[in-house]
Amino acid sequence: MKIVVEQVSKKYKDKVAIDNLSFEIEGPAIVGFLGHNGAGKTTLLNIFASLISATSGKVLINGEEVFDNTNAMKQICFIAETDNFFNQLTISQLFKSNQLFYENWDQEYASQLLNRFKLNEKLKIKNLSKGMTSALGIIMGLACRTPIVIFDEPYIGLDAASRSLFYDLLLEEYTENPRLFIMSTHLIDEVADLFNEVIILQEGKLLLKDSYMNIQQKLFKVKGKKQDVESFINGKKVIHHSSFLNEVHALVKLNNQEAAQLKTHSVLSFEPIKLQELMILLSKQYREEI
Amino acid sequence: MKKMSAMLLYLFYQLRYETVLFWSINALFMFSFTIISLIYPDKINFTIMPSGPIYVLVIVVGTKWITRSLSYLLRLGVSRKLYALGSLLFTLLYTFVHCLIILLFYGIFKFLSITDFDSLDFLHPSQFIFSDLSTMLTFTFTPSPWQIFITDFIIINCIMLISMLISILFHRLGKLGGYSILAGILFLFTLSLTFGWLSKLFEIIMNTNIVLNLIYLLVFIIALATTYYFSTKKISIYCTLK
Amino acid sequence: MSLIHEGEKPIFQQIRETIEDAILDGTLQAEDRIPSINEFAKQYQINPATANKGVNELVEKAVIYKKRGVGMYVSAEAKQILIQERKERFEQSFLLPLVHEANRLGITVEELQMMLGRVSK
Repeated sequence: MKIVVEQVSKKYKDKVAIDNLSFEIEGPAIVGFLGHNGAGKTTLLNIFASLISATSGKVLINGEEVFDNTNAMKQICFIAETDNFFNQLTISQLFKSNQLFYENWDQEYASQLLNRFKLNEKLKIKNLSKGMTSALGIIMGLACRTPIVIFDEPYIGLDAASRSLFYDLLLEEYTENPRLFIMSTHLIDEVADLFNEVIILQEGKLLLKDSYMNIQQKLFKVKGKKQDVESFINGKKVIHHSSFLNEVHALVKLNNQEAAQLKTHSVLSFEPIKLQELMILLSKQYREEI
Repeated sequence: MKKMSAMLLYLFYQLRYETVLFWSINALFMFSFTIISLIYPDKINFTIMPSGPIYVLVIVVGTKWITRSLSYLLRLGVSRKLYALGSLLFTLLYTFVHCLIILLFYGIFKFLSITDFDSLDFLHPSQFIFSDLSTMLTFTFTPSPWQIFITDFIIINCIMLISMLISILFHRLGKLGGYSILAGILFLFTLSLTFGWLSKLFEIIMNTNIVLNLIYLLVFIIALATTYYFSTKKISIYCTLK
Repeated sequence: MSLIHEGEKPIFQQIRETIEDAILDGTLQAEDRIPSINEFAKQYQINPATANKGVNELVEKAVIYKKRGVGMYVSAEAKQILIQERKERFEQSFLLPLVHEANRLGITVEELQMMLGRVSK
């Protein structure tokens, strides 16, 4: 499975949501889609699923342009924060209608998942709480067995235990039926270790796209006394820099040699940057590609 | 076309509850008033127009069309082209079924000889269309089932299509734009009343051959359908403006 | 493991070190089977690719070998290999920072030797 984004832009009257983006995503994989609020994540994901049109550029799924193309659209299941299904239906009616559209819909698996999330299929969707609706969305995303599944912040209202269950199920599904899962999230620390690849959008532009393991081997938080840190980071790519008393914290991108240097450094304190902290440290003004 | 039948089934699921509810209430209403006017023929003289409530149902269903189906069907993998065609096809089927039901009601009333009672009058648009001005006012003209069916089919279809177009209008232009356009249309309508354009139109229609009139209406329906089809190109699942 | 000021390590490294420590302290003996990649992934709630990287580093060092279709096992020479590796790193990982800290506190070599004697008991 391959998604190719070719010079996609989305402009509204008062803002540019997506600015000339180009990149490729290859599956099967679990891809994390990160960015500040308004960075363009939801817009881009909607374009992937052909739910809105791009102002310019195109998105190709396995070589076929996705917009208004049933062949491509039926390969994607898009689960958004809310409003995923017509809420006058009962859960069992929803599943029956899903069976009509998703060729690989696994009804048995869906029923099992209902049990695990403690939902009754006779309930009407409009009577479900936020958490239950989110759980239902997750069940739909997993049971539809489409080659591409997009989760756009799918766990509003889900408690921590249910979220953990979701991650377990996601891993299980990924292992047994490898597919391309794209997940956009703000609860980054919980899910970061699940990602194969991480994509970060900022103000409609691509800031970073790399495998999770590469990021852990290239981006470091360096701490120490001012002189020591400054002499080390001299000439290297610094993404963030802050100081307090005599201590300086710097977020740097290192190549293999520099990383090896750091690991044998006797004085400086270092650790690979955690994604959530990276998102916090990235100011909205930072536009350079990392 | 598996996707097409899936879409039609889905729409059927969606509207099933509402339609059945409507018919239960409608039937109850009609039959109770029929019985009352039969029992008290001196006190109540009841005129039934079975098609009337259907117009209301179809307006309600049509104006909510985009908001209740576009987003979900697109997510389920239906392309916009297919969505537009499916909507139009569903409109035809929905109208067809309702016309049959109306005929059924007429059949029941006729079977029970209710139509012969004085205290009960039946009103139907076909009475206006298939007769001329003189006989129309005497309420003696009884249209044939075919005439009833065709009249209903065309009128209900028209109303539903217009309502669906209105739903697109509101979706694309938001509340402000939608109501503004409707106000504009109402303005034009009032204008044409004052200047007598409508009565002139009415005269022309009355003087034209019935078949020709029906053909014009058919063309009008096709125009509505085409407008609907092209209005859904590139439509987004989100309301453009609030 | 080291005294170098390293914060939380990448997960694949943690997994590798967990296995190494288990071999070194005897929990895992030679020819013992280690959990599969998927089992690691499930246990730690991480992507199988990440677990794979940690385990593969051990395969490359010949600490672990794969039996096709059956699983992964601790090699006979595993413990020796790891001890040798860590011995070589001991100076860099432990002694250098120790000396640096001792210098910072003004501890002399004689004092160090006395401390070493006390702690070794």
